[in-house]
Amino acid sequence: MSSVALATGDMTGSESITDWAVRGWFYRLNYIYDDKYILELNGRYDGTSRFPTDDRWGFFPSASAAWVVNREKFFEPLAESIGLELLKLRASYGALGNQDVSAYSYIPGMGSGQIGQILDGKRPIGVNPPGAVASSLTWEKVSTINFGGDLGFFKNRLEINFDAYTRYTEGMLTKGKTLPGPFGVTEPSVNAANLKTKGWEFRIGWNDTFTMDNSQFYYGLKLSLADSRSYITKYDNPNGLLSDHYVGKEIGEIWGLETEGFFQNKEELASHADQTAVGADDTGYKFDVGDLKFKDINGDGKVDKGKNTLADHGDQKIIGNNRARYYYGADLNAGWKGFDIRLFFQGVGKRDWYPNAGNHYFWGVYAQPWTNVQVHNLDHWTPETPDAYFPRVKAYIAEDGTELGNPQTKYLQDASYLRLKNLTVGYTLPKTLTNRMKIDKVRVYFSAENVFGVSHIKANLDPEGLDGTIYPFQKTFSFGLNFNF
Amino acid sequence: MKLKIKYILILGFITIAITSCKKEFLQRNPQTQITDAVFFQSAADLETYSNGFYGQLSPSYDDINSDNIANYNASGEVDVLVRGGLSSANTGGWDKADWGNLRRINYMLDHINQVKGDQTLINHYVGIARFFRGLYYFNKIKKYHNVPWFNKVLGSDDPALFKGQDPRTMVADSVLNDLTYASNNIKPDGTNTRVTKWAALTLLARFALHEGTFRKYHDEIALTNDYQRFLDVAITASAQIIKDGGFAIYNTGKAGEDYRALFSSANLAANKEMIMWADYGKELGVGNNTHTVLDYTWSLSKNLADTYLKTDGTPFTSTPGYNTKLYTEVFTGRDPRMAETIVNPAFRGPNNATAPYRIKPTLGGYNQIKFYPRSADLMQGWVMNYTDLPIFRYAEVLLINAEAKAESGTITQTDLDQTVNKLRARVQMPALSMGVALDPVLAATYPNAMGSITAVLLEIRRERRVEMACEGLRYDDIVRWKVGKVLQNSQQGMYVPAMGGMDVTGDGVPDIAILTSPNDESAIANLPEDVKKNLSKYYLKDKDGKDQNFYLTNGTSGFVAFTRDRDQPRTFIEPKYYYRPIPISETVVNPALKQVFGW
Repeated sequence: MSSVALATGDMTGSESITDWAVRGWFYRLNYIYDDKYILELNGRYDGTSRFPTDDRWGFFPSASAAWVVNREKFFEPLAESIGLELLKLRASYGALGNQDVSAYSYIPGMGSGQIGQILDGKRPIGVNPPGAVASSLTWEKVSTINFGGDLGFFKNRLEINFDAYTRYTEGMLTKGKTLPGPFGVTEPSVNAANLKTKGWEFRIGWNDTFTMDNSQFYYGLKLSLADSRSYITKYDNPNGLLSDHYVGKEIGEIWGLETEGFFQNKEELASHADQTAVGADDTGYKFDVGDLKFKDINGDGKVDKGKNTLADHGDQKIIGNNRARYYYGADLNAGWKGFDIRLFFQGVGKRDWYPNAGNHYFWGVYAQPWTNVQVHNLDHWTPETPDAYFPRVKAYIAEDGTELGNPQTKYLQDASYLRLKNLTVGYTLPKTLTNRMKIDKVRVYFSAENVFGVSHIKANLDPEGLDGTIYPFQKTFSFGLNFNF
Repeated sequence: MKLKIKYILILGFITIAITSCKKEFLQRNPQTQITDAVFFQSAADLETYSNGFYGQLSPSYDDINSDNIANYNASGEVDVLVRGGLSSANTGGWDKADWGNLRRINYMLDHINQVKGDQTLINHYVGIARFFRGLYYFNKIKKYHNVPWFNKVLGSDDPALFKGQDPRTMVADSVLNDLTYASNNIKPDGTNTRVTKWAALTLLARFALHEGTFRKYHDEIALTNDYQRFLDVAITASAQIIKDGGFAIYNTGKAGEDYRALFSSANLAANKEMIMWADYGKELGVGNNTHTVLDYTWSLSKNLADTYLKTDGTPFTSTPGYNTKLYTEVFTGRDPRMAETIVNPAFRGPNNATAPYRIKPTLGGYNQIKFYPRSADLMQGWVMNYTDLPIFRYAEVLLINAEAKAESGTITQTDLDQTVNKLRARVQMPALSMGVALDPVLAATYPNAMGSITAVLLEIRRERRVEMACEGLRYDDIVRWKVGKVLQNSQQGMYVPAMGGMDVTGDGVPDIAILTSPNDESAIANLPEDVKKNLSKYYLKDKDGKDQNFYLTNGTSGFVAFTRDRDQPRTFIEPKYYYRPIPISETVVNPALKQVFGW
């Protein structure tokens, strides 16, 4: 073994080498008869170094067929009568493989590093036990069955496409069944779950040109809408732990408490169900006037998460889903007499988001007292403002997944949005003018990105950048001049 | 219909992997990691592997969770416990990271048979692994009473993962076996920064004393018929260290200064009292956080302060008027260890500042000074202090020996002279004699202490509390002696005779002032302007009349006490609070685990 990481003696550097290999064959077979019947067969046979020898290879075939109905003789009279130029029906089945695990995840490798103690005057190297590895590990297979159609009307001025699909993910690579603490190490990723996704997409477009005031006026409009939902169909979770996948779970679902408001006085506090189990450790699990009041949904005299299982989930319920639903887009463009304009809108119709515990941009001083006060933090409870948004100022209650950091109805954010991604206005100088200067075309334009949006999040956070710490989308304004010679 | 084929066939097989056609192309092995079959070859490999154990044994420099603490600003586990806040729903521990420490140890023991070489040397490393396993399970028994015993790494399909707890007796005997093996097989020599035979014997003695006294006093676990053999082990193990270890109480005749040298020195390598110590040094980037003992989040209690004897050997609490002595008076004529543990009026402040140090009533007034690094080069910031710290010191071994003998009813004056009185001698305190009178204050603190020599036993407990203050032993002592009720007492700080200015530096000039509120500073109205200007002011209420974190027990005079203790009273439920719940997330995954004593 020749690696700095395996050296002994004094060491202050570190080295990491990762290599992996894939090998594959694929084929494609195309058959088109009279532009009427279209058949395509594909297949891949892939091998990867990430899986053990016996589980290394996977075969992933796909097939698609289409029938161009409008080319059928019998259809022509009907098509002509309604102005239909294209009617294509499609069906496909396709499988793909994922190998989304780390490079050596089936090999129990022992890492090493300088320890944090001084022994005999040195900080020696220590070797660590390996993580747990899966005894068998292979490709995650994603199979999709799709039905769709394409329609064109009125010299293809009107175009419609639609698709509906079901996707089966078999042997999803994810954390295996939860094991007791004495296992002593994180459960390895295995082919642990099956997932079923149902979705659809719809697009409609209209393009037309006509003459107005001796000039061509052209305009176009494209609208699209798509949606999908995913459910777990297999996962080994005998206890129905909510912290794991379970059969029937919809991906993205958020379990949380129901917020009733704030304790407005000592009497309310004294008569309310015991909330110790959902309090923050830093404040000794104690609640006071001005703090959050949760609903004792199951009426057992205490607010808790029960065993955090399907059978006993205490006072939790599904309060939302963080997956984006109803993606939509609208693209408009038009031009006349040298002027052109484009507007591109994009948005998400439905999405919930619970700010993660410790998110300073949302929770501010409720996460940690030394962080910045966010402007929306000022809307907090005092005896004079009993209906404020945040509870009384109390640090550390949004630092971990307890109290304010515990998902709950009041602070669940509507993360749907609409955004004008692009606005472009241009003007092309008349040819009569530019030809004299021996220039083909001169166009001046103004373009703006992300200039306008509708968001419902309490904090000024980018609805497209909620998952992880990414830079907010920037508004960009540009002015331009195009010369074509 | 005539077939008209526009595209007939496109058939392609393309080999992507043109770089290599070898069969082994897809076999990739880690290059910066090693596998068990290759690694565990020699005793040197065992040393490298066992280096990774040492993170599980760190020195302690506080007594948080015990009655030695007046107030802990952050949320200590016991503070939460006695206020009824701890439950299986919010408790931590018992997770994979915690048990991962045991897995690390058992992983080496699982591979021991493939190691070749000198068997004595191999056994030395087996001993080290078993030392750490004994330590791991000692801590587990302390918290949970019954725990499942595992002596090998568990695979994901091992049914043992789902077993319930093994009885305490079985686990305690296994710990005894591990630590006995460790003390018989680990080498006795070295720098004492690694585990030696003597460190193993110290842990064995500490464990045996704990288990012996715990069984003796905790009738709820029904093992009162089987404790003496543990006390015997504590006696023999400590006696072996005393006889053959070559250790000594550090005593150069400088009393308190010698005591301080154990906790605030740059280098403990030559200190004969160190059975095991933790080395810190800037060059190697390993620092400690001992500066937080002073003026950070906790302070020491009046209860601890009162425990220190007077220099004549009699209890301070027997002195008339002791309860109204001022902060500037209580250190006079006391055991020198008091001023080396609690900040006293003569303390010059961090880095020997020229300005006298002002204690703060918000923390009670009795700030911890033991373990505080005294010089700037040893104290450079957060986890950047470079004092060496004791892990096991000889003084504890002497105290274990004395206590185990007293609990066994066999202690003699000779035993006292060879143990407790060596500690007394260092700080030039009078020797303890078998004929000592029963201190009523101690008797009230430890009402269940048994036997014909209770007075001596209680003085040994006092000696242990005083000598080992802030070394992380006090909470366990309270537990094993079954005096948890002391944890429900609200601890207090110094005595404040009246509102107004107070001298805390011993020069007769007021340095701090305790005042009703920012709206009412009448209590200092008569002080000279230059004195008033220099006062550090503390208010019982803020300008809106709201209580602050401390108050005075008689309203405008009395001991500093803490509003949190008053508003959220402390209750110690026997015997439940001697134990901890297993997190509910773990009992759900493994229903065979049973909570003990009403958790």
